[in-house]
Amino acid sequence: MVVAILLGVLATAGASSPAIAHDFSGRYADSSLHTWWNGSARSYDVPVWGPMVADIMDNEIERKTAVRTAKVSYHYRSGLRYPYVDISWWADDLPAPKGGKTTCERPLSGSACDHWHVVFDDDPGQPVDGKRQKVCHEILHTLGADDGSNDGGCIGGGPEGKLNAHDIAHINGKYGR
Amino acid sequence: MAQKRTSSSSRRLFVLMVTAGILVAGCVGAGERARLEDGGEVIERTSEYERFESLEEMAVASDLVVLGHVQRWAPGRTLSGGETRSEVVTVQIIIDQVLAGDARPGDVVSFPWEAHELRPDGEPGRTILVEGIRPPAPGQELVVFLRELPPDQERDAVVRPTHYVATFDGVFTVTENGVVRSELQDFSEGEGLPRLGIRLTGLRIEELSRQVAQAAGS
Repeated sequence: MVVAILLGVLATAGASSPAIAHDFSGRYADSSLHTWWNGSARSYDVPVWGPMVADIMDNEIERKTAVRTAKVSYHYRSGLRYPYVDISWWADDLPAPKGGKTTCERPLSGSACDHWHVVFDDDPGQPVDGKRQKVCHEILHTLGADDGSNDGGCIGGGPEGKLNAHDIAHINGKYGR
Repeated sequence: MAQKRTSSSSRRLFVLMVTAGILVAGCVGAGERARLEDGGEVIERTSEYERFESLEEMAVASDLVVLGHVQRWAPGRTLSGGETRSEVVTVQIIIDQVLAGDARPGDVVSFPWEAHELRPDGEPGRTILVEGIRPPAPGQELVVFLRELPPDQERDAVVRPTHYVATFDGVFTVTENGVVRSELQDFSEGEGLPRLGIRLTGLRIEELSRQVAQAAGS
């Protein structure tokens, strides 16, 4: 209960500000606390993709931006203002054109989203660096990033799933400390 | 290669389209009709795809560019790796005109498309909008930029597609007035250039055909 209240307080604390430029104009997160869990139906996904998801959430999003992240063990918790976990992720063999996909499952009024499904294209032939970039790219969609920028970083083509100054400026502009 | 189209021929084509649509609807099974009638709830999906700056670049990067009608949704495969299940259909189109590439009018080509979610009972659920684009429906006239499907993809599909959509910028509905229209969502919000598909919306099919043929021949 205490945890639920704490999460609720944190979830309402993140004031959102207008996007800086056009390539962060997609649906955005419901608050500056970004929760996540694995929704795979296959045990294969967790060892292959799980460490990269945790790495991106902890070391790119949490450490470098105003967004706080938390791995949670619930899909829905009724006591919270935004009761669904923000990101459910898994991997699947997606149809061409190949790539990840991000879907807002629970749109809120305006352009916010309570619950995202993030699916990574599962290609065993990809090098690890390619996977990390895709994880970072899809997660940034859940924070409002649109495709289109080509200046590197997680949205603009990498390398290696690292946020660049452009990504960080956009995220902090929207979820500022 | 481009066919000249007058307003009277457009009307004739429209009548043919409607007739073809009725015939197609009459040929599909009950499940496929149910899909067509399920025009209600949708879900928006953001998908990665290759972007191009110009029509020329997009045409050069495609193996086949055609104007055609969706003949039917052939069975494809199910995606079921996570919390939701969805159906990937094999969209079969019969070619009316080849804008670029190696094919002939009357040929049938196909591509995979994640069309809708599946409810727990296996029936179609919400329609999936990919970058704002609805699944191409039987009877629909469209221009589509395609690439040949690599041999390692869609191996589990019941009806394996021949091609795949090269880019979502290259999927256009053709209106009864003979102009192309993209359903892509425009995230530019007035800043920067809209996506290529949106910029090409409103182009007459004859002009699109001419530019594609020119790019393919260059």
